Formats: sequence, C-alpha cells, structure tokens
Amino acid sequence: MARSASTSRSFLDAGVLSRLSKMAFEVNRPMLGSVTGIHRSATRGASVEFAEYRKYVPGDDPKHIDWQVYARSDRFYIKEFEADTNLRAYLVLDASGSMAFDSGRGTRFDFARRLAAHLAYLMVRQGDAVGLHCCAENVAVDLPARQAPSHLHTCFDLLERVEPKGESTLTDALHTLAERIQRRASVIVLTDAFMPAGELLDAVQHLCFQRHEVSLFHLLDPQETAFDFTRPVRFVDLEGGADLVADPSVMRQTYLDALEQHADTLRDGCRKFHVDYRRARVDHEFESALTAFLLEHANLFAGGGAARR
Amino acid sequence: MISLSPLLLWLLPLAALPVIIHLLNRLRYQTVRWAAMMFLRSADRDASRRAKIRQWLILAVRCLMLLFFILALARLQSQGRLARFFDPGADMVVILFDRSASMEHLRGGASGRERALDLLRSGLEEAADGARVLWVDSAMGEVTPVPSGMDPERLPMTVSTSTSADTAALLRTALREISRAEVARAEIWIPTDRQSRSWIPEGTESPDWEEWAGLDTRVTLRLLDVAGIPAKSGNRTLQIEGRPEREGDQLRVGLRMVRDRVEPESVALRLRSGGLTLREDIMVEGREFRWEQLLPLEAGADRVDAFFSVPSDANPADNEVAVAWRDPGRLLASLELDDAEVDRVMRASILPDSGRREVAGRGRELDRDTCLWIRDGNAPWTESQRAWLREGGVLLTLPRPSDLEAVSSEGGDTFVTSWTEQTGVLATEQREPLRMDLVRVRRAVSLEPEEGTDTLALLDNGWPLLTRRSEGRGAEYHLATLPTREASNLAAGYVLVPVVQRLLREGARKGDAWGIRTLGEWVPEAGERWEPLDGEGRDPRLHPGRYRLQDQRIALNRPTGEDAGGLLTVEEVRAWAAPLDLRVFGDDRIDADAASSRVDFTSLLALAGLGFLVVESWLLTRNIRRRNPTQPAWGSAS
Repeated sequence: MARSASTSRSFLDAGVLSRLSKMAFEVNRPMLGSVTGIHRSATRGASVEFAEYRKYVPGDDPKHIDWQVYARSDRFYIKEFEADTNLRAYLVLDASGSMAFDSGRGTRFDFARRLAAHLAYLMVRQGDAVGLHCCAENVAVDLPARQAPSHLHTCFDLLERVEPKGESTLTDALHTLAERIQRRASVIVLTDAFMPAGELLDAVQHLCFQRHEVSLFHLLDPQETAFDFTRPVRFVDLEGGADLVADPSVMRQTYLDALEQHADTLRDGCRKFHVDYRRARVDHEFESALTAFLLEHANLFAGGGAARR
Repeated sequence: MISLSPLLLWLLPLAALPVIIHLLNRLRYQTVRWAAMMFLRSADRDASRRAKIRQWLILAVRCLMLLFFILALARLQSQGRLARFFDPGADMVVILFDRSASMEHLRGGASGRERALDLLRSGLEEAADGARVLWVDSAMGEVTPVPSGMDPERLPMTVSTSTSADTAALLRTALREISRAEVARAEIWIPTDRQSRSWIPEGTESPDWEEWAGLDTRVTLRLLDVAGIPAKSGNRTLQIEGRPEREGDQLRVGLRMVRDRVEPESVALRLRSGGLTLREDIMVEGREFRWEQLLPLEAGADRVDAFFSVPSDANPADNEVAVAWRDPGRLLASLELDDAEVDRVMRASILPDSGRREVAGRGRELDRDTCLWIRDGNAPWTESQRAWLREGGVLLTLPRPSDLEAVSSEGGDTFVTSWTEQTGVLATEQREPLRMDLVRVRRAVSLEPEEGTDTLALLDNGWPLLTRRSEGRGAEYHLATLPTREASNLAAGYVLVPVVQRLLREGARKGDAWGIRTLGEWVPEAGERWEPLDGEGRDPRLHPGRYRLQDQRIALNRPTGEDAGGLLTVEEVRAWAAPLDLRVFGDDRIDADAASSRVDFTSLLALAGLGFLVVESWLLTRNIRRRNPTQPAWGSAS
C-alpha cells in the first residue's frame, strides 16, 4: 500500500514513510472506536490487559466470574479487561489564501499537505479511521473518517486538488466539526492561525468540550518571523484585503511584537485546554516536525497501545 | 555670523541628503504578497505614532549631524549678542597701537594704520561694553585711558609717525597695567602688519613670559592682522648709506634706494639745502641702487644740512632722508688704565697719529672737549663725571686683569655667537660687517647687566661681551674682556679699532646736536624748542626731517629697521607669544568686523555633530538591544 501511494503522490515521501513505519500515533484519551485497534477504549473489553474487579450483578455473563476469587472469598467477582479500539482522526487543513504564502521555500499549504498526507497514511496503516477537512471561503472539502485503504487514495486525491484561496473559515469549520462528530476523536489542525486568537481558542475549546483530543500545528514562514525587509514594501493581502504600503524598518518592532503576542496567546490558551500546540517553521524539514510530534505523543501517552505492542 | 571658508557653505544642501534618500527609497518600494496582514495593519497603526516619530527623529538627527559638520568645516564665527552670550568679554582691554613707519605702507588703498583704526573702531564699539580700555602708544610709550565706544580716529595718538615699534616693550607695559588693575579677564589688542623688526627687534628683551604665566588674570592676545596684500605698485625706500665724508669743498653723501622692482627707471630726487630746492633725475637699476650725492660746501664752511626726497609711493614714510653734518674737529679721549699693555693697545686704537685724535692720560678732568672716557674697574663716579656722561659723554669700562677668569673649563677660547648688526657700534656699515666672528676670548668677566642695559654681543658660553646702557644723552659701555694676549685677540685691531672710533664719534656729538640721528634717539629736553625745517607740524619725537635747535641742525631719520621688509607669519607670531592665548583676526583680508568680539563655533559645531552621531547610533542600536533578548524561538515547539 505504501509503495503504490508514495509513487503516485508528489507530497508523499517514501523514505519518510519507511523511516516512520515502526512508529504509531498515540492519543491520551480513551477512544470509542468501531473496531478493535491499538488505542485504549473507553469501554471494557477482551484484551489481555487487566482492568479491575467488580461485584457480580444479575445479568452479567457467568463466564466472566473469577472462580479463584470465589474459592478464596466465597463471593462472586467479575474480572474485567481493557478494550482496544481504533480511533477516528480528523485532519483539518486551513486552506485560506494566507496558506499560499511563499517566501521561496515552498508554500505553507504544501508543508501542511505533506504533514496531513503522511499522518493519514500512518494512521490508516495502524488501523485508524482518518477524515479530512479543508476549510476556506468557497472551499468545501469534507471527507468523513474511514479506515479503508481505498479511502486513503480519496484523501490524497482531495489534497492534491485543493488550492488555498479566499478568507479563512477555520473557526467556523472547527465549531461545525465539534458539533458533528458524535464520538470522541482526535482532531489535528494545520493552520497559520492568522485570525483572532480568541476566536480560534473558542473553537478549540469547543472541540475539547466535546471530549476530542486536539493538536494544533501553528505553521509560520521564516520571513514572517524575521520581517527583514530593508526597503519600503507594498504588502498585498493574500486573502484579498486592501494593500498596505509601509516602511518595514519603521513597523518591524511593532509587527514582531504583535506576532509574538499572538503566538503566545495561542500557546497559553492551548495549554489551558490541554491542547497540543506546536509551532513549526515551513523552512524546516517536515519529517522532523512529524517525528517530533509522533515521538512526543508516544512518550507522553506511554501505556497506550503502542507501549503494549 | 561669518564663515572663514564660505565656499564650503555651498555644501549645506547636502544636509538634506538623508531625507532625499529616504523619500527615494519610499518611491522605490517592492511588492510582496503577504499573509500576516492582520499584524501589519495593527503594527502600521501603532508605528504611525512611536516608531514613525523615531524614524523621523533619526532622519532629523542625520540631517543635523551633516549640517553641523558642514558648518564646522566652514569655520563659522559669530559676533554681536550671540557672541556675547558665549563669550561675555574682557574686563580690561589694552590696545598696543603700532604707529611705526612700516604701518604707513599702503595696501589695498589704505595704510596699515588706517585699517587698524577701522578694526579698532568696530571692536571698541562692541567689546568695550563696560570694559576698561587703555591705549598704549608705540611712539611715545604713553598709556592713555580711552572712553568705551570712542572713535579712535579722534584720538591724538593715532596720527602717523616714522618711529619704530617694540612690541615686547609694549607688552611689558601691558603686563604692568594688567597687574596693577587686578582684573579677572583682560584682552590685549595688537593691530599689526607683522613686521618682524617690530615684534622681535634686535637687542631687546623678551616680554617676561614668566611673569605673564604668574598673572591671576586670564589674558587673551587679539592680533588684528592688517598685513593685507602687498601693493602691486612699486615701492621705493630712500636711505642714507654710511657716513658723510668731506672731500675738499664738497660733502660726499652715500645714498641707497631699495625697490621692489628690477626694471631701470628714472627717479626725481629732490634736494633741499640752504633755502634752495634742486631736482635731479637719477637713473636707478636693480632692487638696490647706491650712489653718492655731492653737496657743495661754502668756502671755509664746516657744516651743511640737506633733505633728500623721492616721489611718494606705496609707503610715503620711507621716501625721504635728512642729513646734517658738521666737521667734528678734534676728538679727545681720556684714558685711566692701570695695565700698561691695555693702555698701549687702547691708545693705538684711538689713532692719535691721524692728527684729529688726541689722547689724555689719567688726571685730566673730563670736559666738553672729551668725547670718550676709557677706564678700568668699577669705581664710583664723581658728580662731575656723571654730569659729563649725562651731557652726552661716552664711557667704556674695561675689567681689571685680576678680575678676569677663564671662559671655558678646558681653558680654551670661546667666540661671539650673536651681536647687533643693524644699529649701534657693532653695526654693519656700507655693507661691511664687523668681523665679530673672528673674535676669540679666553679670559673675561661675567657682566651682570643692570636694568635698561642692552647686550650688544654675546659669547658662546652665554656671557655678554659688550653691553650698553644709556645715561642721559650719553652712554656707558662695558667690555667683558681685555685686549691682551692672555685675554683675547682684540688687540689685533680689526674689531677694536672700528669700535673705539665709533665710540669717539658717538661722544663727539656730546652737547652738539649736529649730525644724523635716528628718530627717538635724540629727543627735545624740557624747555628746548626744535624748529622743523621740512614742513610745519613736524614733531621731532615722531617725524623725521631737519630740525633747528638754536644754531645747530639735527637730522632725524626713521629707524633703519622700519625699512626691513621681513614679515612674521601668523604661526611665527603664535609661537613667539605661545604663553598667551592668541586669537588672530583679519587673516588675509581686510574686514572691519574682524576686530569685534567674535566667537569661533568650529569646535562647538564639530562637537554637536559628533553628539548627533552618537544619538543616531543610540537610536539605531536601541532597537537591536530591545529586540534581541525577547527574540522568540519560532522554530521550537512548545
């Protein structure tokens, strides 16, 4: 499956997939999957991992009674085990015009597309269901979560077709998603977050309130963080707003302060809601960002399915 | 506000260069498709206040920095209220006014004296506001308080003279007055043509720089430079050459004309003598032209006077000379010498065999006929001797042989390192210098000159060889060595004989005004009335010419040093007056404002420019310093 997918998509890297093939994406919260998987389930099940004893109540299947405990205590106890299930992951890509920003190192959307594609591949490969949602003005891409390998091709086709344009509708999309996903899931958001931090944090909070596990990739271009223009510049808004002619040397400090404050607000807000917030620069290798994401999830949430395997 | 380098003021538009570059850069903007517009818009709103102010501040600082540096290069100076704000001025102003003959030289249509008066007029109007002003006249040496703001041309001591000036002596007078006044701050103004003989005359003392250094008063020397640009028109200087000599029934007078051109020209020489005025055209060639003019003597006459002049030119003060001659007759010298060898040599030096010289031995009373008195030792004078001296006698005092000591620790000879060549008994006459360089001295006494004594010759070890001190109309000379084989080689005669003969002639004028004298050397005494023969209004203290005193004739000529053309450079004057804070005004152009209280802003402007440079650097680096500590780690994950 990996060979066929990687050879046909420009945003997939077979080498990266090969190197990350032994890694798994872990989540913190118990999931409510539809089939058996590698993630801890919110319900009891039939895995080999002991969960707890509880008193027998009428209606319980007698085959779950622990007879050795009965022999010692002359009471009926039911022995329960953890259930393993798969997860549903939603990859949410901000496809607004600002994601098309390119300072010569590739667009931000390309970076997000690579991340999403590789994550989707790895998740489907470990039996999880992956959904894809690209949101922007006049962009309607919404694939429900599926675990079938053929679904992966659909996702890739969609990623290939999507072009970033228009204003961002990310916050609306996240609110919609929070309402629409009935069962708890992992939501991975890839965005430049160029929108009011409060609105974005509200949407993230909404998702958390619905017991979804949220990860937020804040993608930034090095030119945006350096703002090292020396001559006056006419800035053209990628999302269709008014132009601005300015002397960067005059406003550099204020701009950088505002950007830093915005990022700090997002970081602090995400920390408050236990959201995995990560800044990523698009001039860095996406593989390192992806590896770090997977490793930190595996370490943080050790005790999950990956640890058991 | 005046610029000493006005051409550099054309660079002033360069001060706007930062603004122009800034505006050009704004016009040449690049277009960038940008994502983070929300931050840019908020930054643009905020920057429109603080950062934009800072940006324009940097631009203003850069403009001001360039402006101040350009103004500093242009050597900006100010006067008037602004100048007084920075420099309140002196409590006392001492004006040393040079009225020497050289100041009459016309340059640019005005004489140096007239330009000096122009400079002083504006300076007095402004700088003397509340300050005490003293006027020191170089011709008379008098100190006169002058009301502030007075037009100096109304002062009687500003008219032209043909005297010489001794700046060192004038400075000593200024020192005395400033010390007496005990003011906090004083200024000495010297309008000058920088003639070297006026500043550093031969045989004069230095202006006591050590005493200047010890003054509690802060003294500034203000040099009002009127040297100007020399006139292109030719200048002719008429001088007497040597001594008039009788030749039968004629008197041979040597004349010399010094010109600043070499082309031959015919010059009309006017001669006034005995009520007659004669004109003779003289063809002169080269820069220096010498000739002899013959004056007829009436039968049996032993005296004559004359006045020579050439047409007036760039300096009207140096176109005339006066001659008065009387046959000196018999010259008597009186010797009182213990040492036989010395007595023999000195007698020989008097040339008694010429028939016109006589020698009297010890015991003869000094009388009107005695011209020269030669003695050894330093015995006190009697009253009659002092009276004889004050009436014009000349005394030569020699040391006693027992007082002599070796001039060198090795016992070798020493020689003469300097002597006054221009005037006095050691002067060069008819271009033949005394061979003082051949004098060798082995034993001598160390003379200790009294106040008012001039050193005429100096030995290599620093001891004076010959000194002169005026006593009334007479003079006392001291020789430090003896004309003996053990002491010196003076007995060879090539220096001693001319010197003794000159001393005889100097003494021959005792009580007799007949002769050619230098202006200032022979001045009327109380009660004497000198009648000018060459124009009414001439003052024998100030003006050259022939004067009649009863039946005598006195020919007064300007000091020969005034005819010397050498000028000191401003740097040489600055070096000479190094202990004083010297400020030069006027430079190479005539500017009446130059004498006013002017403050030089060059240093101030340069400092301000540097200050703006520092401020600009601070404004630029302030941004970097603020930015670095809080630079966010955008690449790291939180």
